[in-house]
Amino acid sequence: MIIYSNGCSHTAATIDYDIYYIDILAKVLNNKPSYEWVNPTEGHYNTFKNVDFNSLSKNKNYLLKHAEHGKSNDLIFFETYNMVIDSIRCNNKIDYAIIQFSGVNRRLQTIPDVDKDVKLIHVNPHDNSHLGVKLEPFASEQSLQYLLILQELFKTHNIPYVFIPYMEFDNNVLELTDKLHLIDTTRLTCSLYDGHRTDFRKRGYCRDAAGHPNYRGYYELAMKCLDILNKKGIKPVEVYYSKEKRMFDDDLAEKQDFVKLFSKNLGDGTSDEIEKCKTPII
Amino acid sequence: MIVYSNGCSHTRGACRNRYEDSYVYIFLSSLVGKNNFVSINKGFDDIHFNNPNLYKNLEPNIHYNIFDADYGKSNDKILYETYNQVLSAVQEGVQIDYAIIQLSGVNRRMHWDMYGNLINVNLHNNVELGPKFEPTATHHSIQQIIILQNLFQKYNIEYVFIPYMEFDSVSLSKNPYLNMIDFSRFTTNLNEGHRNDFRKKLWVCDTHGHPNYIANYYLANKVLELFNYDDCLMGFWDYFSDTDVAFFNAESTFIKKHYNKLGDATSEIIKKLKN
Repeated sequence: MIIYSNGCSHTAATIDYDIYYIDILAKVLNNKPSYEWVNPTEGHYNTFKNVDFNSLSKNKNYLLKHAEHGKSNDLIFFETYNMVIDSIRCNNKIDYAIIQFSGVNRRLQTIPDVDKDVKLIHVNPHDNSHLGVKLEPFASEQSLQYLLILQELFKTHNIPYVFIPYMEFDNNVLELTDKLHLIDTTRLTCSLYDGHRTDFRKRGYCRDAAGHPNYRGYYELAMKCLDILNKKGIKPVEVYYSKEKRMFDDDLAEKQDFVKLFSKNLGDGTSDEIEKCKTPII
Repeated sequence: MIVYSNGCSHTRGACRNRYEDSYVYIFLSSLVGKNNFVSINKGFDDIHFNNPNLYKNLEPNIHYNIFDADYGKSNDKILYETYNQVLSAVQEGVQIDYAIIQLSGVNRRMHWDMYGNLINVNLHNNVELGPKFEPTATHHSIQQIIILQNLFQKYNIEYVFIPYMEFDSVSLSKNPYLNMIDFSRFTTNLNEGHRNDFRKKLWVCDTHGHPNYIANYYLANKVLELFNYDDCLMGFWDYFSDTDVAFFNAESTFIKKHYNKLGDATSEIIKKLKN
């Protein structure tokens, strides 16, 4: 079995956790107790340097964790599409795809690189923002198109999938677009209007102003994904996270009144946005 | 009949800034008669959804030429618009009969101004914003071709791809997905493109390699052939008048000499070749 996952820092590995929502999913979905996880490395633009679908055993379980900090939907889309068609080309199809969509204003830029010919850099409100992030309405419109194309790809090849719109899309664009009704909302973990980020901030399900999930957030995402995939078998949260980890996260969440109070206004949680929220309105 | 087309200035009728010079118009004229179709040219870009769905009020017995090609366009934008156009037609229950997609330079991309309008980044315009670099540029375009091919096949739209500019041969040789592309729908192969061949034959009106009358006529025939209309091309002089046609320009010797080195024919490249 092959489970494929992509997304940004809200899915990617950090030093703070050993288990993320995608790992909980893998434990439930896999028919064997163990699985091998692989971090596909850069190289998606020609050959996957460390993932060869031909060499993946059909008798083993794999979790491909492609998520990375700062990723844009441009790159998530490009990589996911290539991964899926590569798995089909090699006759070793991905069994499940869990795709977390990132902030719609992020984008991908290529720059020349002496060693690798080209380097892919993330342009988002935190990194390389001077290169220009995407603006609305195009930003949300293009991400909607990405959703549609990937939806079509998964349906055509009978790959069960889940989309996690972690960040909310621009509500004005969603009101105006004529493409929203084409999206199969039964495969979304939440509404595109809301996203998870603001809700998690409000409920103490995240660990910082940028809205990165804590153990409660990860567990909830895993539950929602499994619900969409119609799979039972998730164990109580205590099985996945130690008492110390839970206490630490809960204590931290208790102290984050600021994040709860400004859950809607914090956006990407950049230093500018945090500063703005802290500045009293005169 | 509804024909949808997209591309850059090489489809736009750039030599005289005249839509009717484009091979798309010759193609349609050959099939349904000159001036016997309605052209809808979107022209300068809107903010997508602010325009009403143009397939909503199409008359059933009229032939339509929905022509989205415009100056400076990237394959990013060609994919984005074409995908939206096809879905808009499907939503209204309208069948696009033929799609003619001219692929542009792979290093181009789209950006946006402070008002959210889309702008083009290419070697001539807004280059300071950074065009795409190889090999990602080529691999992006390959993915875009596969997406559009699958879209057209799904909705039973007869389609043709015109790779006007050559793709990077090194990047192409490394792309693992080329065998997923149906090259029988292409007017030429990706390694060569049309641009250098047209320059060599002097079927261009400028150093950029914009097609002149003969090249447009040739492309119209190619498109007709791929749609299995082998003997339908209208007579050259039935379409163009003798006052239309100017075969040579002052730079012809230079263009012919450097046909395969001119690339996007930026002022830097031209200067380099002239020195």
